[in-house]
Amino acid sequence: MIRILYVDDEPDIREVADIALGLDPELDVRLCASGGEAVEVARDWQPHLILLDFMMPVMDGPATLRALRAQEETAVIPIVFITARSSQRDADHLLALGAAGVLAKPFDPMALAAEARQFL
Amino acid sequence: MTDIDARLAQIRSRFRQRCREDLAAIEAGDMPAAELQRVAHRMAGMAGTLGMNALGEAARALDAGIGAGEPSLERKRALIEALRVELAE
Repeated sequence: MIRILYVDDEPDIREVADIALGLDPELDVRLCASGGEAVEVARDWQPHLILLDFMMPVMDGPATLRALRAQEETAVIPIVFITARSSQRDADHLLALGAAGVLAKPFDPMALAAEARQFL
Repeated sequence: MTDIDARLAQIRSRFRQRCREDLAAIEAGDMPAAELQRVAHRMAGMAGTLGMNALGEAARALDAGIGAGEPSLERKRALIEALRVELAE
């Protein structure tokens, strides 16, 4: 199974993502509601990919990415931002921070699993 | 109705209820710009994902406009109109 960690502070978006990624039977999905929770879960669960919301309270997406990169156990896990700010300029900025990719939000629930798989 | 359809219908119903609450708060007129942007940002992501594209686009425009420091009155009015249309359906 391919482990994917989905991080978003919005519960309804997490549930849609859970449904969307669950359409692919090879994906094992876990959900986190905050960057801080994601850093802990990623350390213990070792996902193959992290899908990360950009705008979250307390620890936003870029801060979460930095924390994951600074932690030895999660330093090389690919991180893909899911964000409404997906212009080329914004994407270039996120890629420069060390993201593996950027997916646009809103996402198509029927296509999310395939889009995530591109980064594995 | 499949299990997935049922879950999505439940999410859509919750989202529409939250939109009603957001519309009332926005129309009250005293929402700070940062809060208005947060509401618009959340609404943009969810509306588009659920296929409410006109509402999602109006919310995205307001989010981007406030983020760019642009006057937001027209975009706020457009979002209120999009919310009314969506909630009337």
